[in-house]
Amino acid sequence: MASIPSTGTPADRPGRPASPFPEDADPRFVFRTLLGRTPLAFLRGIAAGRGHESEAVRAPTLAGELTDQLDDMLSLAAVRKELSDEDRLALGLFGLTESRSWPLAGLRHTLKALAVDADAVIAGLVRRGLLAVDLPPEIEAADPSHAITAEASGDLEIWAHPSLTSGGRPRLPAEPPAATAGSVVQVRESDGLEPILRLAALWQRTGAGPLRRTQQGVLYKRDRERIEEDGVLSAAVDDALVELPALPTLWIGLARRVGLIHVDPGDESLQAAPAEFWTENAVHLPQMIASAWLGIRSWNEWADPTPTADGPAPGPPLAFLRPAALLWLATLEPDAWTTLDDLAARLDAVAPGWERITFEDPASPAATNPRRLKNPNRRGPALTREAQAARVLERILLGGAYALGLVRVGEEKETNRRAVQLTPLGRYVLAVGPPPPPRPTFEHFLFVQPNLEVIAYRQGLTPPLVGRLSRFAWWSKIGAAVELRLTQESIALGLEWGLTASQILDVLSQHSQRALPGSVKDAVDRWADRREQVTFYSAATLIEFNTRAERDQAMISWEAEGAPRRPFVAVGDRFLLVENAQEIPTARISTTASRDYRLPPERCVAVEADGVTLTLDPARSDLLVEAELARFADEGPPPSSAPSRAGGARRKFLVSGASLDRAADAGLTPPILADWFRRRTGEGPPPAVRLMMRPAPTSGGAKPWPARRLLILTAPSADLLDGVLQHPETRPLLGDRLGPVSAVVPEESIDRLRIALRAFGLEFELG
Amino acid sequence: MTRANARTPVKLHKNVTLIRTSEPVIAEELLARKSLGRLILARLSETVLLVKPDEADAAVDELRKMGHTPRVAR
Repeated sequence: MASIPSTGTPADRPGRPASPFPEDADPRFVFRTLLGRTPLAFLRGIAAGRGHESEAVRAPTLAGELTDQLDDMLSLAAVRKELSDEDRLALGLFGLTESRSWPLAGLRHTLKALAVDADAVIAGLVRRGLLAVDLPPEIEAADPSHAITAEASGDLEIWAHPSLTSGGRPRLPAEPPAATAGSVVQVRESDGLEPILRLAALWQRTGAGPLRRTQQGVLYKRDRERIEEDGVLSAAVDDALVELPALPTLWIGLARRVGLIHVDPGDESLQAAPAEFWTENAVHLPQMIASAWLGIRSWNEWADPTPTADGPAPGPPLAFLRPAALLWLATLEPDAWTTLDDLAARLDAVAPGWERITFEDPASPAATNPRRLKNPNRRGPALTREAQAARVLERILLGGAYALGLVRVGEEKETNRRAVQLTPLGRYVLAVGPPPPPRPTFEHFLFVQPNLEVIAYRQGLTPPLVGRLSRFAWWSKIGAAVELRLTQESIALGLEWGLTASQILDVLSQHSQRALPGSVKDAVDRWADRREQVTFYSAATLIEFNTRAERDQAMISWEAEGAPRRPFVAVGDRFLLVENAQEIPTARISTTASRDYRLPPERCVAVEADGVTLTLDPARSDLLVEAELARFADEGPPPSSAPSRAGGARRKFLVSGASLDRAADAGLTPPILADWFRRRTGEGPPPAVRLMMRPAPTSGGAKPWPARRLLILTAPSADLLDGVLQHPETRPLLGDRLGPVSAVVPEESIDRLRIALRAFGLEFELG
Repeated sequence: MTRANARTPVKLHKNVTLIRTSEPVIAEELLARKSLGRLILARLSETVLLVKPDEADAAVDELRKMGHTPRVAR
């Protein structure tokens, strides 16, 4: 099985540099920005062509004006009027594939396969400011209509203004491929459910646990294996006419393009869309998936798209051939068929080399020469041009397009050649037919078994029903019949996605052929009850009151005024737990302090002068700090005065040797404690705490501090002691001054000091 | 201002990560689990546990490993 290479933007364009624009960047902003990087003279040429008079002297200003013009109805109509059929086809490809941008090489490839002079059309649209080119910085100053003709220009990304890509249908090529003359037999058409079921399975797997990605957009090993080894996501399509490679990559790519999974901007993981996605989009999902398949570039029909050391990955040309192949089929009458051979012949006639699988392959290989690929070991034996052409069309039309329900397949009776024809869905997606009729349904298509397995008959499934079942039943097998499993996790997921146990049972009952087994009802109820045993709040709000009485009174009156969606929950003595912050009756409270736990912790602890007493600032403290303090300090007696504001009075905590021993036992090392003091007090631990934090001395290892008795001279006044300490006769006989009137007298100097002082008429006596 | 219109002074703790159990004994069970206990900072009441703010995902994983299917309120 091919591995999932990447699921991010870079993977959508294998081998290409990442775009400087965010994935969700507004295409108008990107278009304006790219236009603004082009030379002013080039933009003035565009303005002159449109008859736009401007006094702008800077390129970005003029680019803004030209971009805004395309959002103006009258200007847009004038621009559209000037478009040729080929222009409309080129711009229509953006809308058809729901792509905001196209690689230049891909756009060329598709247009050539549709018998359009690609280079001339693209350059013309660029010169008129209708396409913008994402040029690398080193050639930004160049005329973009010239830059796109450079040899290495294939990697350039081309952006279209959104106003030009929506609405209208692309012009179809003029000469359709030859239609089959005789009858077509053994007609097969898929129900189109396969991708919907697979995407539904991927959605619920992602809902159960997001797919985490590295910074390069590659799935982490655990999540990659979770998807690759999933029996539903990696299994071959049951009804497939052609086996397709790397199916998990395809499903992930399609799910991302339709929005069933999305990137969490916080950690870049892939997350499931809300369950409302199904309510809003299920009916349109077949068309959405079809458009996504037409535009998907992170996967191709040929092989693993991982870039290789010896060159770009194969496949990109195939990704751009899909719209062309289907548009050729759209040129036929609705009931006409064409064979794959005739379609290949039509493509041969207009675009030699259309079947190549890398852009580096020669465009016009000799028809009879076997062509070896760059890495024959990896890509299998060489194919003749004809064989490769046949295989390319088979994989696109009999593989993806058939599975999606876009084409039906048969055999030309006389020649036994494969013939294809667009289905109503296919014609609708290509904007050449009306919306397809809804699938016939029958109500009771589920067989719910006592062992909690559910068999679903495909004939009864519709995209909305797939969505409803996906919320609470685990897809376990997708084939001719579809199997689902009810598990504790799947029911929990359903409850998380907004269903209740009774709603789940209602869905099963409504579509079940027989009454639900009792064991199913018991299990669903039991699991739903069990889920209520533990609630995890990732961002709850706790309201802290002054007193328990205030809290209880508020709770009663607030609930009487309007019942919240989830009831308020009393926590401890003074707290009220509110699940949804929007339900806090802000008109009934006066917020004296507020702490957001997503922000870094605040400094809210003051160290008292004794160094061991820590005082909490009630206005800035949080619940975390109390828990942190409790690990290495003991709360002191409560203050006698009543608290004046919510959050309580200034509570005090005492650090002691015993409390620090407790902290050490709990793994709170001195560096951790020092870090805590810096975060919470703004300074390191006070000396008194550092004194207690010192490691215990080893026995006999610590040198005792020296201690001795001192003789202290106490003078009657500071002025007299000043004199004694300054005079040269007495200064050498005294030690350190200890205070205003006290100084140390060394034992050996006492007699000489007595004699010296007598000279000044002073006496002292030993106490 | 009348008593009925008086606003109650409160302190708000926003975006707090918590686990609430239906029974105290379940909270005991959670606290006894070493790998989960290290993610819990404090027990605010018999049934409400305060979780380290940056360990929310790990705490949910641990709950699931224990066989719980918690309702996750985001």
